[in-house]
Amino acid sequence: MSPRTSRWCHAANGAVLVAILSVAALVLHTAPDRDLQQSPIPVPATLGEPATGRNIRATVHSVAMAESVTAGNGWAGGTPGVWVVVDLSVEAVATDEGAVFGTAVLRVGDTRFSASTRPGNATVVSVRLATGIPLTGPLFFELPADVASSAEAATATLELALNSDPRVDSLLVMPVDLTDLPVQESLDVDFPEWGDR
Amino acid sequence: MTATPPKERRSWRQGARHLYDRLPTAWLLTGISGVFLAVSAVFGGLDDAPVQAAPVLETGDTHVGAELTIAVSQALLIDAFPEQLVIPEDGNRLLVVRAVVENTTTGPLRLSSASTGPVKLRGIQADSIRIAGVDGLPVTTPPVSILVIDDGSDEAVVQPGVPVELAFVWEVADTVAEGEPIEVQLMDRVKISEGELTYGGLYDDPVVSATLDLTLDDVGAGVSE
Repeated sequence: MSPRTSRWCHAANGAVLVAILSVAALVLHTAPDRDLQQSPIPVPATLGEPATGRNIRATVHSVAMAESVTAGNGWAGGTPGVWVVVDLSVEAVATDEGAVFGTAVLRVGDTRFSASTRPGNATVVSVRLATGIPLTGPLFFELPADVASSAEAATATLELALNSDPRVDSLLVMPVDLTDLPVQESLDVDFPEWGDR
Repeated sequence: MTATPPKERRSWRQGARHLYDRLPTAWLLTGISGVFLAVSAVFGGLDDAPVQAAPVLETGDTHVGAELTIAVSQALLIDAFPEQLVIPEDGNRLLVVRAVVENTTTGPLRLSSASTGPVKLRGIQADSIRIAGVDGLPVTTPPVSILVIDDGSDEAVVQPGVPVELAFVWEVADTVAEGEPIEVQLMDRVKISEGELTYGGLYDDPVVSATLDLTLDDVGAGVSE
């Protein structure tokens, strides 16, 4: 083998190696990452209209903001911030097996607030849903007052799903403009009940 | 004799190479270690690294941790919380540490107690406080319950930016009496990374990032304040 052919051979090897690495880099950087592969499937929702996911159907009837709330069981927990009270009907669609209403999140900017479990049985979060029979009741979110009136609060979203881990399942997403809501002094909220409103 | 000795033809570079080839590896390694140690002497050498003692806080001071800010206000003894079904066994009483906790992250954090059971909210547990210096109570004992003082609910999920006053409850022998000193240790956990095989963050073991010395009060059968 003359030195010339050897040199060409090396150059070709190098080129092939660079080509393989570029293709690998392209695949690596364009393939959906794990977060995308496992992300929940968003279902857009609007106020007053039912939105249906794989095994959850919810209708948000109203959103209100108040400094103090009294729940249907008499609970009146205080907060240094404000309460955002969401009144909704929620039901399972396909099966009631494992249909726990585990995700109720109010997202303001990058910050997530989960529905409070402090009211005990006067809130619908963490309740086992029934197939085709809506459960109507409130969700209580505890927010700092400055967050509730911030610019990001205008584009807040309400996210509802089954289970505390909504990955690879339907996630009902409803935009909420919190800055549009008047802050009421106090709010009496009904106890959850079966049936639609 | 016509041959010139090869030594004279060597450049300094070849000479160094020759020397290097003849150098025993053990000498080389020892030499490198020696240089390393000598250089390290500039930064303190083989002295023990100073251990930063956890700062000691005063009652009411706010401790800013990685995920939570905690301000401990009081430690007291109480018979029971019957309405919350937190009732100690015969011969035991409850030791309560009151603290205002604020979540500085961007998601809700659930403070875990011993009674959380197998079902836990995803990725939102935080270690917060533990107590030392109590007879018969190992320092690693988690609280039997964490109550929200405002309404007595027993699921402490701390929402971002919303400070909440909590009662951390331990069960202790009733020989523990008013006036005894206890040490409250405020814990901090450090996030290592996002899990590669698991979902959610991976956390290092929590470390004591501040301590607080308190004297136990006694409220007998129990009053709210």
